[in-house]
Amino acid sequence: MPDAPLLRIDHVSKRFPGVQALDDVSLVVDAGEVRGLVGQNGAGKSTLVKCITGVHPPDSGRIVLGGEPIGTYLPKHAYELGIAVVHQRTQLIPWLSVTENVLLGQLPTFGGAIVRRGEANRIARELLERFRLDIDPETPVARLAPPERQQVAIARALFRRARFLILDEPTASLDAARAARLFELVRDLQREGVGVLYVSHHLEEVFSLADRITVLRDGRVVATRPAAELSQSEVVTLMAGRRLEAAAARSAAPARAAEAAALELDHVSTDVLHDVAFAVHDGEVVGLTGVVGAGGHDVARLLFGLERPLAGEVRLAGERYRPHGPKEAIAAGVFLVPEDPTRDGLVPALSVAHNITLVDLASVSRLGLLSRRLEQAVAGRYVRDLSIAAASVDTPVRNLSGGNQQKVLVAKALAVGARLLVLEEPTQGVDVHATAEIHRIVRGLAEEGRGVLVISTDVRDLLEFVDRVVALRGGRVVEDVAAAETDYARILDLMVGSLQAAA
Amino acid sequence: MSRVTRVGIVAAFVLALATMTGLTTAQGQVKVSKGTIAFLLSGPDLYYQDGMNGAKVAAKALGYDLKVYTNPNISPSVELANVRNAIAAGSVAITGYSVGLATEDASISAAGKAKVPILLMYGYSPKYLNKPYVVGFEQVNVIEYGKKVGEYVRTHASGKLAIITGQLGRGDAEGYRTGFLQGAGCKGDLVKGEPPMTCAGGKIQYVATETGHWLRPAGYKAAQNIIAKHPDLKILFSENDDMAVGAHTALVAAHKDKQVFMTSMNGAPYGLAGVKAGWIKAENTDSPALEGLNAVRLIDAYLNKQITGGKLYYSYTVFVTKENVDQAVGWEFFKDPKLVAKYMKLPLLKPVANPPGT
Amino acid sequence: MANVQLPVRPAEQPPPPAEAPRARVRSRLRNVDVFALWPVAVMLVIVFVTALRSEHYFTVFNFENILSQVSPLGIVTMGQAILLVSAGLDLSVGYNIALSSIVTGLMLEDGYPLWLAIAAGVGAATAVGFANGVLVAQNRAHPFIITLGMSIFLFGLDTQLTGGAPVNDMRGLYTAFGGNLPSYPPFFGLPAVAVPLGAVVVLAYALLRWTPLGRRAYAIGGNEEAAYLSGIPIKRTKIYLYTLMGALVGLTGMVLAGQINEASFNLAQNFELESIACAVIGGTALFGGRGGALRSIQGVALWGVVQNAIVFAGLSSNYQQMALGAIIVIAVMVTRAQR
Repeated sequence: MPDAPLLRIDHVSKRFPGVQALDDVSLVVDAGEVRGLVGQNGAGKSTLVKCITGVHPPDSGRIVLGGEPIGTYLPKHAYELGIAVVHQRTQLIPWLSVTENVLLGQLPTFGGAIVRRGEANRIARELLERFRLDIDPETPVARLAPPERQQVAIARALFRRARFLILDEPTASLDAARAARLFELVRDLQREGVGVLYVSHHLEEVFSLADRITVLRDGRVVATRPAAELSQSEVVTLMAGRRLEAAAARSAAPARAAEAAALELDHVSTDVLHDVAFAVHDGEVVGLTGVVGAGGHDVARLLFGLERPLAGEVRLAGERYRPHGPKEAIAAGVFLVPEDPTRDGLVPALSVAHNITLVDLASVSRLGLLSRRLEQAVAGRYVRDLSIAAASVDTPVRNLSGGNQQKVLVAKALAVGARLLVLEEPTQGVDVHATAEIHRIVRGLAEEGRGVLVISTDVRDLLEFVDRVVALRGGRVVEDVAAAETDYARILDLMVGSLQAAA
Repeated sequence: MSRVTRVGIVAAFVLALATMTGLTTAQGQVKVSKGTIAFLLSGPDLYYQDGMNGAKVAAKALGYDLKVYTNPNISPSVELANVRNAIAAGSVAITGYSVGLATEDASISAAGKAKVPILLMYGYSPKYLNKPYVVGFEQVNVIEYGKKVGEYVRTHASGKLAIITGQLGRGDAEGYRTGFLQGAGCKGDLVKGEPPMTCAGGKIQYVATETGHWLRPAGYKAAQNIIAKHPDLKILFSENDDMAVGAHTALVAAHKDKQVFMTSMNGAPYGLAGVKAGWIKAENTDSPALEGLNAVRLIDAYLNKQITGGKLYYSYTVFVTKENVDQAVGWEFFKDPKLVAKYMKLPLLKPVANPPGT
Repeated sequence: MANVQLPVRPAEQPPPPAEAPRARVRSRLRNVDVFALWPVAVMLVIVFVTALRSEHYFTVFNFENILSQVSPLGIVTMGQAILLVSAGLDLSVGYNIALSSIVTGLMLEDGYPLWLAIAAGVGAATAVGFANGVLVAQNRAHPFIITLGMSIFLFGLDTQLTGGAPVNDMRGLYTAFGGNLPSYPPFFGLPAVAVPLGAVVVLAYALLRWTPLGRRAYAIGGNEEAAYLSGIPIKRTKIYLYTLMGALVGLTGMVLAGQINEASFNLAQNFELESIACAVIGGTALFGGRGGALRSIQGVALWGVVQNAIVFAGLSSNYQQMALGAIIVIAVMVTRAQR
C-alpha cells in the first residue's frame, strides 16, 4: 500500500446563495478502501460528490488525487484523472449498444477509421462477465432494465481504469440478488486497490461494505470512524445531531375517530406502494416522509390522478376518490404543489397574477372574457396574504425567488378553494427565512380547516410544523405517530431501517 | 394509443395501399400494344398536364401505351428514379419533361446505357446532337418566340415598357426577354436585359423588369409594384398567361388596365380568352398538347427508322391578335377526336438545320 | 395519452440564488420591452431611405399596394401566431389555403350559389385544421411532422381536384376582394382585402389577451407540464386552436382567391414558412409562451415594406430573398437578446 493516500480532500468549502453547503470538509480515502458516506438529505453529500467530480469547483480548499493536487477541472476530465461516478440515473447514450457505451471514445479501430467490432465486443463481454451479467453487448442500452444499465455504467468506469469510484445510492434500483452481486464486485475492486466512496441511505449496506464511515451534517464532517467501532444507532444519532426542540406550538391532536377523514388511504397498493393506510383530517397537517424512492412521490401521483391504485382505495370525505388526471383531482378539491415549481407547477413566462388564476379562468371572466380587474383583485389578495415578494402582480414568475414561487403555487391552490393540499418538498432549495414563512402559511391553511399533506424527505424540517408524521420505507408505512410523541432520530432510524420495522 | 389500435391503423393503411396499387396494375395488364412509352411529368402545372394529355392521345392513335411517371415536387432524384423504373419496366421509349439541365444529363445517360430512345421537351443542349440513342429535343425557338411579340409592340405601342419574367435561372425566361427586346428594337445589353434602355428609336422606354415566377399571385404582386413605381406605364409584356392574368387583375384593381398595352405568350385557354376580350393585345402561342402529340409522333417515326436521332425540333407556334385568335392551336384539343385526327395529319416536324451551338 | 409524469426527484440541489432588491428593480426594467418595436424602427428607416430614391414611393397608392400585398399573409400569420404561442405550428397552411379556394372555385364553376361555395371552402379548410388538431393532440409527435405530412397530403389532393388547371373566375369573391373600398371616409379607398385583415388582427388580439382560451394557449406554450397539472384540458385546447387556424386559413383562401381571381394549388406557395417567419420577426417565440397578435403583425408589415422597397430600389428579386433571409436571422438575434 502506497504511503500517499489515494484521495485527499483538504478543508473544502462550498457556498451557494443562502446556504453553506460544505463547511471545511476534510476526508482521506486510501487505495483499496471502501468509505461509507452518510448524512441526512441536505447534509452535503451530493455537493461533496459534485466537488470531487468537477461539477462544482470548491470555493476554498483542495483535492489531491494520488499525491497530485488537481486544480479546477471539468466533469469530462474526471475520467482522465481516474475518477468515475455511478449515479442512480446513469449517463449512458440510449441508442448506442452496450459495447459502444462502455468503450465510447476508445473503441479499438483499424487504422483509426473502422471500428473493430469483434474485438470491441470481446472487451465489453469480458467486463460484463465480472458481474456475471449475461447480456448481448450489441444490445442498445435503451432496451436494458435500469439495474442492468447501472451495471453497464460501472463496467464503463472499470474500462477507464478508474482509480477512484464513487457509487451514489447504487442499490436504489437493484433487487437483492443484483445488490449482492454489486457488493461482490465492490469487494473485488477493493482487492485491486481501487478506492470506493459509497454514498447511501441504507445503513446496513454501508456497514457491511465500508471500512470506515464518514458522517456529514449541515455541510460538516461530524465523525469519521472505523465501521467496526460504530453501531447503526450511533450513526443515526450523529446524523441527527442533538434533538431539536419542537418549534411551533401545535394543536394537541384531538380525537377524530367520529368524523370521516378528509383523506383516507385504505390499504392502497401500486407498483411501489404496499398496503399503505393513513388518514389526513380537516385542519390537520400530516407529514409523509421516507428516503428517496420510499414511496412519498408515488402517493402524490396517486392523489393527483397521475397513477391509479392496483389494490385498496382512496376516500375523500368518506367517498371513493379515483381521479382520472389533475383536472378531476382539482375538481374534487385536491391540489398538488409539486416539488420543482418552475418545472412542474408554474408557467415561468406568465405573470404572478396569470399563474394564480390559471386553474379557474371562469371565475375571473365576465361574459366569457377575462377581467383584468378581477384577476388583479384575486392575485392581489393572495400576494398580500402570503406576503409574496414580487414587484407587482404583473411580474413574470421566472423573476421570483424559489420561496416566492412556492408561495405563488400555494396561492394557486387557494384561488381554486382546494380542501386538501398536497405539498411536495415545499422547503427544498429555499432559504431559512422563506422556510419559516412556508411553515407559517401551512399552519395557517390548516387553521382555516383545510387538510394538508406535506411530502418531504427532510424529517427535521417536517417535525417543526406537522401534527402527525407518517414514515414510509420501501413503499410500506413503518410509522404513523403524532409529531409531539416522536423525535427526529427515531423517524430517521425507521426511514433508513436500522430498527426492525413493524410493517 | 393502444398497441392494438396502432397495429389496426397500420394494417388498414397497408390494405388500402395494396388495393390501390393492385387495381392500377390489373388495369395496365389488360391491353395489348406496340409497347409502352414512358412519360416524365415534372410538376403539376397545367402546361405539363396538357403536354401529357397530347402525348396520350397520340400514343393511343399510334397503338402505344403511355405510362406516366409523376414528379410533383420537381425533384431531380425522383426524375432519375422514374427513368430507371421506366427502363426496368421495359419501356420502348421515354419522353416528357426534365426538371433541369443537370438532371437531364443523368436521365439521358441512363437511357443511353439501356439503349432506350429518349426525346425531351425543352432543355436542348448541343452536346446531344447526332447521338444515336437520343431522339432529340422539341421546344419553341426561345428567341424567335419572344421576338415576334416585341416586333408587334414596336409598331403598335409607345411609352414606358415593363417586363414580367418567369423564374430566372434556367435560360428560357432570360431568352424570351432577350428576344422581345430584340424585336422591340432596344439598344443595350439585350442578353442581360437590365433596364433602362431606349427602344424603337426612342418611342419606347424600357424601365422595369420583375420576376413573377410563372405564377398568378407573383404576377399580381409584380404588376402592383411596377405600377406603383411607374404610374405612367404604357406597355407590359408578361412571359406567360398566368402572370398576365395576375398582372391584369392588379391593373384593374388600380384602375390602370385601360392605359396599359398588355402582351403575353403561351396561348393558355385563359390567355386566349384575354385576347378575345381585348385586354391582351397580342400574344405568341404554342400548345403543350401539340408538343406532346408531336413528341410521340417523332418517337414512332424513330422506332420505325424513318428518322435518325440527335436532332432539335422547334414547336409549332401561332402569333395571334384579336383578329386571328381562332387560329391558335388550343391547349385542350385532345378532348375533341376530330381535332386530334386533324393534328395527327400535320406534316412531321423537320429538324432544325443549324441548331444553336454548332 | 398525455401521461405527464411527475419527475423523478433529483438529489439535493443547490438553492437558487436569492433575489436581491436591486436585481428585482433591474428585472423589472428588463420587462419593459423596447426591442418589441424594432420592426417599426427598421420600417421607418427603410421608408425614409426609399422615399429619397423614388418620388412615387411615398404615395398613398403605394402604401395601399403594400397593404393589399400583405393582407392574405397577415391573416394566416395571426393564426400562426396563436399556434406558436401554444408551442404549436401549422406547416399545411399553404396547400390548405389552396384547398379552400379550389373547393369554392370548383363549386362556383358548377353554378352553386356563392354562400354555399364559400361555406364549403371555409368548411373544408376548417375540417383540415380540426384534423391537424386531433392528430397533434392525440400523438406525442411534434406538430412540425404532423402538419408537414398533412401539407404533402393536401398538395396531392389539390392537384388531383384540379388536374393542375386553375379556376379562372371567382365571381362574387372577386367582386368583394378584387378592388378597393369607396374613397370617402371612413373607408379612404383602402384595398378591400384589408378589411378581413383588420378584423382578424382584432380577433387574434382579443383572443390572446382577453379570453380563457388565449390564456390557456400561453400556459400550454409556456409550460405544458404545469398547464396539465393545473387541470387545463390540453387536448381540447389544442384541437380548438388548430381548428381556429383552419377557419382562418379558409378565410385567407377566400380573400386571396378573390383578390387574384384564381383558385389553384399554387395559390399560396410558401405561406406556411412566410407566416411563421413573420410571426417570429415580430417577436413571437418559435417554441411557445411568448408573443402576440400586435407583435406578429409588425413582422408582416416589415416583410411587405422590405419586399416593396427592394423593387423601388431597382434591385432584382434575388435581393428580396437575401434581405428577407437576413431579417429572419436578425429578428431571432434581437428577440433572443432581450431575454
